[in-house]
Order: sequence, then structure tokens, then C-alpha cells
Amino acid sequence: MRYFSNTRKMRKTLVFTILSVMLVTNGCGGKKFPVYSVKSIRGRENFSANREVSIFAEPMNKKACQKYFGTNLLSKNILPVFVNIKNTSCDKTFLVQKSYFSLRDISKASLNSDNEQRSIAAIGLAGAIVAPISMVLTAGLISDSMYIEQNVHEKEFKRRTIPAGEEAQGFIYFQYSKKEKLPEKMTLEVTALDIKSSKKIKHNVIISFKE
Amino acid sequence: MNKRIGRKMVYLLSLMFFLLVSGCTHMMPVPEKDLTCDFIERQPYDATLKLVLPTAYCDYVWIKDNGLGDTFKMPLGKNLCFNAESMFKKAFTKVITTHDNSTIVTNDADMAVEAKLISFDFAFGMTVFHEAKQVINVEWTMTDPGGNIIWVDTIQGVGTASTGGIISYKNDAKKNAYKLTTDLYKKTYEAIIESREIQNYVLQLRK
Repeated sequence: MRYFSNTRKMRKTLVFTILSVMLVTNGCGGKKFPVYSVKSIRGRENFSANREVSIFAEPMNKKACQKYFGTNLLSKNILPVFVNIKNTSCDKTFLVQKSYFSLRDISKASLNSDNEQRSIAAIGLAGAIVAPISMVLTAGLISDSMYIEQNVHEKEFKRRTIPAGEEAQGFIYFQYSKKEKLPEKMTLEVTALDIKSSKKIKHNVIISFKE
Repeated sequence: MNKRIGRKMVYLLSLMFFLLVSGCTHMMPVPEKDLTCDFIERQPYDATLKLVLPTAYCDYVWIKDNGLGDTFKMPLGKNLCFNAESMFKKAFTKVITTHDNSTIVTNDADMAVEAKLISFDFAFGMTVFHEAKQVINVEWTMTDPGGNIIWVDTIQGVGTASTGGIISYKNDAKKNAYKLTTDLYKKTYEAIIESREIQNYVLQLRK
């Protein structure tokens, strides 16, 4: 061993081996994010039901964003809201998609009329959320942004029809103005489209947000 | 002696510069064969389906620039299209395939279904020993000849495989894509067969 460590040849081999191992194993970061789940939604805060739909919504704070998305989306003015919607009708089928959700500031509504409520627009496309996140993360590990991007898409609420008795869930990403501070109480409104009659049913739930 | 060291330094710096600015395109292969996934096959719907696979779906190529000069490409669309047709033939007695989404509603079929690719993500593992993950979201919209919605669902397919080393990464990506397509169409088949909306619609057709 002493003979080897003293030789230039062995030192070169050692450096070469270390470099090779580094090159082979060097790659991008891989991350795993937990799945958001709720055990029971009925009767809980942020829950509302009528004869046609029931809705449960939970906005994510900084800590929850870090846990489920690996990054603080709020610092990028994106509020992820977990939504569970159930068709409680007897025979209707509803079409629900992310553009059918809207978020309003309830504290403003208590002071002013409905027309003066501020509305936070939902992000129209899943792709729209990816660009700013990726740009921010390019300073860090490249594949961290790849994993975050993938996770955001995986968890997003997907467009689908919900037959009677069935439910759908996922995250809706809301983008709000940089100037705005998120209020403690908000109203989440959902429009469900009855595919047989083409009638739109509106339902809302009051949600609490704690930073 | 100093001249030799100087020359070596120039070579080393040139090499480092070359390594920094050079990059290449990595074409990731996709499985060419028909899926042999073990669908729990059930009685197909006795109906004629018009399967609309738009060119945007069939010609889809995933392109990712890693920011270091390397571009990864995966022409996934052809495989997605080919296997969509195979899967729908298991679910319906007659399938007419078209790539033109402007003629979705016609009288030559009982219903039409259109595919729309929502997202595809491919994230590599941290090291060669970690797994790489591919996730796809495809939205299916089924309409009657009058254009009324029968059923809509967004199906998520997931494929995981080893990231692979310098030599094996392409083969591992291919294995991953196979798992992804299998998962996507297995879930789609199950969603279609189990859909109450489709079951009721087909039942009404036969009355």
C-alpha cells in the first residue's frame, strides 16, 4: 500500500477513479413530495354543501407549500388551494375544470357591495405556472425545478365529468397581484356545468387562510 | 520547462472551454411495439367510436434543454397514437380513427372521443442509482353526434425506471416510456369501461 501511495502512477489512477465516479454519479437532484390527503371533510371548516354539490377547500400556507411543493409558491404570488368537490345530486353529471374556480376577498365584501369585491384570477394554463418557478430555481439544482414542475402538474385539479355520488380533487393555483396581501377570509366559488341541461350551478365556500 | 508547462496550460484551458461551451442533442428512443399490458379485458361496448387523435398529439416531441448545452428529445407522440388505437379497439366493437379534429361530429359513428395532451414531464434521478420519473396527463372528451358532452376525464400515466449511466440512460428512458404508456392506457381503459356516463349512453343507443 505504501508502495502504491508513493508512486505517481497510483496517484494518477486514484484521481482518475474519483473523477470517473463523480462524473458517473453526478446528476441532477431528485425529490419526492408527499401526497396531500384529508381523512374527513364533512363538517369541517372550509366545507360547504347543498343538494347538488359539496365543496371542501384548503389554502396552503408557507409551511405547507414547502412540504407539498418543495418551494414557497406564495413568495412567487401563487396560492395553491386544495379542492375536493363532490356531486351530491341524484342523477346529474357535472363538468368541472380549473377555469370554473374563482377566489374573492370576503373582508372587502363585508364593507362594500358585491360588485366591488376584489377577484383573484385563476391561472388559465398549467404551463403558465411553470415558467416563473423554473426561472427562480435555475440558480439552484436544475432538476429540482424539473421535479417541482412535475409535482405541480401531478397535483393539479384535472378537467373531468363527475357523475352522481362521485368526487374529484386536486390543487388549483391562483395567481394574485404582487401589491396584494392575502386576506384571512376568502370565498372560493365554483361553477359546475350540468352536461345534460347545460345549466351552470354556482356554489361557494368560505375559506380561512393563516400565514 | 516553463514553455512546456505553459503549453499544457493552454491545452487544459482550451479543453475546459470546449467542455463548457459544447453540448449535444440526445435523442431518447421510444418503444415501437404494441403494448402487451395485461388489461383485465371486459366485454367491449357495442358501438362505433370515432377516435380523434389530432396531429399535435401524434407528432408530439418532448424537448428539454438542461441549461448546460445539452438538449434531450423524445418523440413520444407516434407511440401514444399507435397504442391509443389498440386500446380503444379493446373497448369498442368498431373504431374509426381520424387525425382531423375539425370533423369530430359525424353521422358515421355513435360517438367521438378526442385526445388532448395536457402535460408531459420527465425528471431524472439524482444519481445513476436513483429513479427517473415520467408523468403524462391526457384529457379525453367524448361527445355524441350532436356535439354534446358524454364524458370527460383527464388520465395521468406514470412511468419510473432507473436514471441510467452514460451508456444505459437511453435504454432506461425507453423502458420508462413503455411503463408510462402502459400505465396511461390501462387507466384510460378502466376509466372508459367503468364510466357510468358511457354505460348509460350506450344502453340508450341500443333501446
